[in-house]
Amino acid sequence: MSTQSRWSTARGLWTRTGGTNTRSLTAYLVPAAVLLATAPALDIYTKMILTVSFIYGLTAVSIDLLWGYAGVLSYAHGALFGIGAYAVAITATSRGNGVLSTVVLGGAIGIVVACLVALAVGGLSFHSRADWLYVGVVSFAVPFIFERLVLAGGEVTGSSSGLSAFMQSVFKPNQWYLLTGIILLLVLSGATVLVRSDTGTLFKAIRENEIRCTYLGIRVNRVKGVLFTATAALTAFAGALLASSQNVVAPDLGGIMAATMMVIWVALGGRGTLVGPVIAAVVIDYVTAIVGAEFPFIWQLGLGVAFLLVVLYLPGGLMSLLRTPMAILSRRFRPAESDDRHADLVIRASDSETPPLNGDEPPVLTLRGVTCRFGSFTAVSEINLEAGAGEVVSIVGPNGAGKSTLMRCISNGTYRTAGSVHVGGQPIKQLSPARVAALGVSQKFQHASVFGALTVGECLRIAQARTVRPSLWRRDRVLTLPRSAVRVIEATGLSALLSERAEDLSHGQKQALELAMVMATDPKVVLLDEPTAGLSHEERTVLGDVFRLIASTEGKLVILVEHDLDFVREISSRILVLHQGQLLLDGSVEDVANSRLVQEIYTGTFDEQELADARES
Amino acid sequence: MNAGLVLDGLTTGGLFFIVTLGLLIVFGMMKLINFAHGAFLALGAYTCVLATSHGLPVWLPILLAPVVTGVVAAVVEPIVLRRLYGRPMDTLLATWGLNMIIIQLITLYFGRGTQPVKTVDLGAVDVFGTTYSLYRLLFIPVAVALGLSVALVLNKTRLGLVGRAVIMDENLAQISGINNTVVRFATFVFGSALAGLAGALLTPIASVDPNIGVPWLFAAFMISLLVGISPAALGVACVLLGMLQVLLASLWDPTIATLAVPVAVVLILRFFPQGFVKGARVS
Repeated sequence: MSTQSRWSTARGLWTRTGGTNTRSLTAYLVPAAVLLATAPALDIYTKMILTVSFIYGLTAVSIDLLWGYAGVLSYAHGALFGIGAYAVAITATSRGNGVLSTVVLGGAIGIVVACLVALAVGGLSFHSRADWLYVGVVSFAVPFIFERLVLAGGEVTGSSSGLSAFMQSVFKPNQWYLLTGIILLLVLSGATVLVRSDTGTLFKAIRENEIRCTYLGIRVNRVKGVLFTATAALTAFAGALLASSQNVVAPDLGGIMAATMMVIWVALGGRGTLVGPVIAAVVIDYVTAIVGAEFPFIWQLGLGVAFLLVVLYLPGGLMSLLRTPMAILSRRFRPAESDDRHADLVIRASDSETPPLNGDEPPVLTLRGVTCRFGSFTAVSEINLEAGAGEVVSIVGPNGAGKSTLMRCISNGTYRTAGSVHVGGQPIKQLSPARVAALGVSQKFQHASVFGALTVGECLRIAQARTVRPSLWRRDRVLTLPRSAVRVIEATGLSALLSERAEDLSHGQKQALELAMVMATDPKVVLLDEPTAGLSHEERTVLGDVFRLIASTEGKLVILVEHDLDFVREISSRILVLHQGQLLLDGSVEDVANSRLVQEIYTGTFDEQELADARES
Repeated sequence: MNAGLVLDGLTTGGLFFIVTLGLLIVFGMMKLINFAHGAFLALGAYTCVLATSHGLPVWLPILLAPVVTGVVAAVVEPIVLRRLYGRPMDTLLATWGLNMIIIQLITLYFGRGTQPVKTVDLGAVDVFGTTYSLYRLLFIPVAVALGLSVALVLNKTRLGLVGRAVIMDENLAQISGINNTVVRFATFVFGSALAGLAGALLTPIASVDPNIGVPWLFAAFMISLLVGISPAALGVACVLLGMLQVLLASLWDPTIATLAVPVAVVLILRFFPQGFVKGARVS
């Protein structure tokens, strides 16, 4: 069999990527030109206001990266902005001068402090037992704490009146206007490149389905922590710009209302669009400065109403109103086939050789006395098991026998109550699912669990993110997958669907995709929880063949939970019978599938004495 | 430790309890955090402002405030909250938007500044050798009475049975014939009315401005995550946190002391995600 399989949708590999980059560059060069061209025409006052608006645009980029792409709603960034601003103000006050070096020093201090705070907040927020409400609690507490600390800071922070006139102006208003405008455009371009790269896809995957990411071996909390800290640095930088250009800071810069405004800009502009939130931030902040001075309360009231309406009726924000006409336009003026920027993905099979099995390898999976209790109920009791590469082991038993629990005890080190699990000789100890996955365990869930908003190709890319680090700036056109994954893709026809969105797939295709994702992690142990539930007979036959193939030719240990005994008989090399949490039988297909005990357990007609005898033996 | 400090701690705890109870009931029953709670506190306080400026007796607004707030809640529940059911993060955002809107409306009518209010003046009494404000002291029995009545309703009445059923398993309750829409509506109105009452009770000791509810909202939000739905656990948590805050205020700095609640809650929940009561948190 050829070690290299290749698919290409045969559309131009270069034109499309080139097109995307050119278009995004033009998208930023045009406003840049407008900005430069209009500079002489605007009056000083407008430029001063717009400087502040541009700076707030930077915070909108931060919040949108976090919330719109990675799904982390943060109010803490209000305080991080304040930290950047106060760092410059306090540094300038204590040094007693306002030269550029003070600004740079203060800004650097602010960014470092903000990163430290972000690491602390991230460490508190992003851990395995934290739910989104807890993340909310922490993130709300930060601006609250910031405000109180500034108020309690006495002369250092200027307490409630803040600090002002702490430096001579470093630049003229015209220069500040140009500088902040260019910085905003650069940051926006950079962020756009990031979210279109494979790393951006990873953020979206985390937003879409965090649990799936975890079981693919992705350290979700680490990714979130890094993104949180990076956006903290950007936000503190924006705060430093504000203090340097305005020469005044006040406690409410980093308070809860400032944090709320950042969230409102992103929600109104449209989360996950970058441009929308930035435009919203600049426009709203500008109008607030103009109109808000005359009718502050009415304006704030209007913002509140608009925010509420968007949350209620327009979750995609104002950008989603623009998207439909834009899509129609682009369809009219561009050839139809170039509409899909994922169409050029090429899949290759990795050419690493699987060593042939000679039958005396050490067991891949060893369970000793594995027990799992929920309160007083014992779901799985004292399971001992050894299984090796190339086996297809089916676990059968009636509902509530502990089959799925046993699977979880293997894929999640924190799940079992007692006993030990070794994968490839390594104990899984109390490791999180992500770290168990790194040892070579990959689980497919009972209900197809994929990344709905991502394409099939992107889902497969993310499935590999543990081993193949996603690029920060580009979308890799070549996807090199383990052969077992390629076999799944080949057999189930996914290769023709690489640019489809996962949520648009049929039930069977989703099951196949998740299986391919599981195989893409190149696991040693493949756990499949009812992989054929709800599939047609035909699909089932195809998958059955695939299971046997990846065990026999790729040397995987396949463990599956199944109810259909005929199917089990066809594909398994070994069958385990679980009943009330105990392992009753463990043997070959002939031994088990034809045993009267199994039939009786399923039909509920077994004899207690016979059961006890079976346990004895 | 002197008696005044202990009384300060207890009355602060009582105040936390009164302010949090309404939010806690909504959180426990509806699995959502009502960020408009702060605005409802303000509505209660401004009911006092309006009523006393029209010459009504000073005790009357304490009865009026829950009614006014309850009516407002009854209007917004079908418009805003009912549509967002099952979207907890959007509910949080929407109620925060609602909070902004109500506060801005109050600001439009009354202005941004502090409002003078005629309040109940009960004078001071001697307890354990210290002279102490009788009004503040009353927070303790009021909190106990409110907590007991909620616990009684929840555990001894048919209404409470329905409530507990919804708390435990909302879908099962629904297919058992409980009308969840009505239960949620009633819960929200009742919880908000409690916020109005708390706002009215706050007026003699806090300066009344449109943002009067905001710091209390945060304290209440944090505390309710800690204690789930149990009024008893709420009582314990409030007294402990009240004591902590008062101690920090007297030993260190009153502004820093207001950080006691958020910092304590953030740290406790980090290491005990279930809070004080096992099974109290929604997953």
